[in-house]
Amino acid sequence: MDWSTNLQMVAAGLAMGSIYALVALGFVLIFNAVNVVNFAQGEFAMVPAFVAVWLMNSLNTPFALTCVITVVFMGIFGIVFQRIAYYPLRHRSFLPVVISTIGVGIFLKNGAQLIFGAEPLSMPRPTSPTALNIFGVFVDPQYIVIILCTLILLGFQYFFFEKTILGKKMLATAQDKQMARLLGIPVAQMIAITFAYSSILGAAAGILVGPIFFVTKDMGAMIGLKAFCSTIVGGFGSIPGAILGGIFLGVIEVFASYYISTAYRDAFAFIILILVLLLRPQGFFGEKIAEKA
Amino acid sequence: MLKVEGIETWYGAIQALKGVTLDVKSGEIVALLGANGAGKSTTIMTITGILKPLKGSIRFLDQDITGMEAEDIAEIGIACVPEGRRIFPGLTVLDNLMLGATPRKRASRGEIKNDLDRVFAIFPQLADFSGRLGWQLSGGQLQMLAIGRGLMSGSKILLLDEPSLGLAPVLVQEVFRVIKEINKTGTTILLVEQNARMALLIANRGFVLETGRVMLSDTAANLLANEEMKAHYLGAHTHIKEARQRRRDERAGA
Repeated sequence: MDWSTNLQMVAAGLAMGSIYALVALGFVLIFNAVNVVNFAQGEFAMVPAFVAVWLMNSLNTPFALTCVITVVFMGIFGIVFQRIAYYPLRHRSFLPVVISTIGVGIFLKNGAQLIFGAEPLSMPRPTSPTALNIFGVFVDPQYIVIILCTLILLGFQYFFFEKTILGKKMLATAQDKQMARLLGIPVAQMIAITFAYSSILGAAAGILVGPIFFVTKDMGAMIGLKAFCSTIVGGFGSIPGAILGGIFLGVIEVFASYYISTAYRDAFAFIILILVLLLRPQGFFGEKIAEKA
Repeated sequence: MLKVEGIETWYGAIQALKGVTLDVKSGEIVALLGANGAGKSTTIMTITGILKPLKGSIRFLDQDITGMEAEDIAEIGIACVPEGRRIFPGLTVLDNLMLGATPRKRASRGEIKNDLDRVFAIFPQLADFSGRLGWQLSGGQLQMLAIGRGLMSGSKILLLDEPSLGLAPVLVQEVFRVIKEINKTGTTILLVEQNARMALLIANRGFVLETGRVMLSDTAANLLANEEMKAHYLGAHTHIKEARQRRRDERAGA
């Protein structure tokens, strides 16, 4: 129980938490924009992982180029997804759209199996497999890459929503679609961009986590579920809540699997979820929201 | 400038507008009056394109805009300050104002800055709390911001839906004074109001809606003098009497 082991676990937890946070952000941005939970959000991380593995293993594409292609691909993927899973149902209630996202999620999972096979694939590591020794703490360099990339993305996102007029238009669309239309803001475009951006966040998560785990058709389901827990733990609809909820779950998960039980690693996120729902149902950052008038 | 002819708008199976015809000439203030549920807001929402009329036509500056999307109607120069102000709660006062300038794609930064200064000149308060978030404002501040945001579009016509609703009497007077001032600087105004007397005092002409139809239309001065108007919309006295009678009836019924 020395401090270096604990610090090692903090690093691992922050890295996993960053992945959850990225996918959780995708959930929240889409929810805020269209009031619908996109249950295919986990698949937004699975698809780019497969695309990246295929590019690197089959076409020998260099890592940097793979990232660029995957991100562009996922941006387009998000717009197409929106067009198929959301747009035709945009005037319907919550439930038909949720079912439609679940349906597209199942399609994507099985599509991935059909194209890439059922065998787990391994993604080439962009970083060295030997752990870095930082003042006696051994850290997988991939963890550091994950944490840094997440920080950069969050910084970009902060700048985008705080400082750009496009970001403001997206926020306005999320807050009051009808008023946004009255001001001449092209609401359908803003929603498409939101899906594209959420999908790009998924691309980041998929490429970053790929080298740590095997790439399988089921990787999205577990990441997606835990990211969803993160949004609820953080306070549903809250952007800082999604980020901190994801990081919190990531860290707890690593510590709990070390100190309590490795076998139940995947259960801890859900235990936390249940505890939060019992003790603070609005989450860390959530307000007790009344139904929108 | 704006010509609405025989529009019929439905909410599902319920017909809200049964052929509304009205027109607004350049430079005018036109009041659209009527009781709750008469179809005033529905008329506004149909003009802005949020609702689509089943019949009738809407022309703006000799362009047929019937059935056009709200986003496009905003772009060609019809600005709307809807009922309830609809300020974006999570955005700052400044952001709300800047988003108002969305239709002005070709405007330079300087032009938009000028317009912002003009809005701040009309509503000096807004400049003082330009960094505050929408949900932190009071009712009067929200209304000022809503009108200011409408002005930022640089539109030729401004549709104002119940700008005096829920405001203290002093603020109501202030809002009407500002509307008059905005009109003087060249913006045409279609004003929806329940406060018929106040509206007619600043308007050139008025239309009175009743259950989805225009029942009366005349110059503001004639409407103010009209006996029927006095009885139904202008006489606060009769209103109180009616309300008392209604309460008595209700009590008797219960």
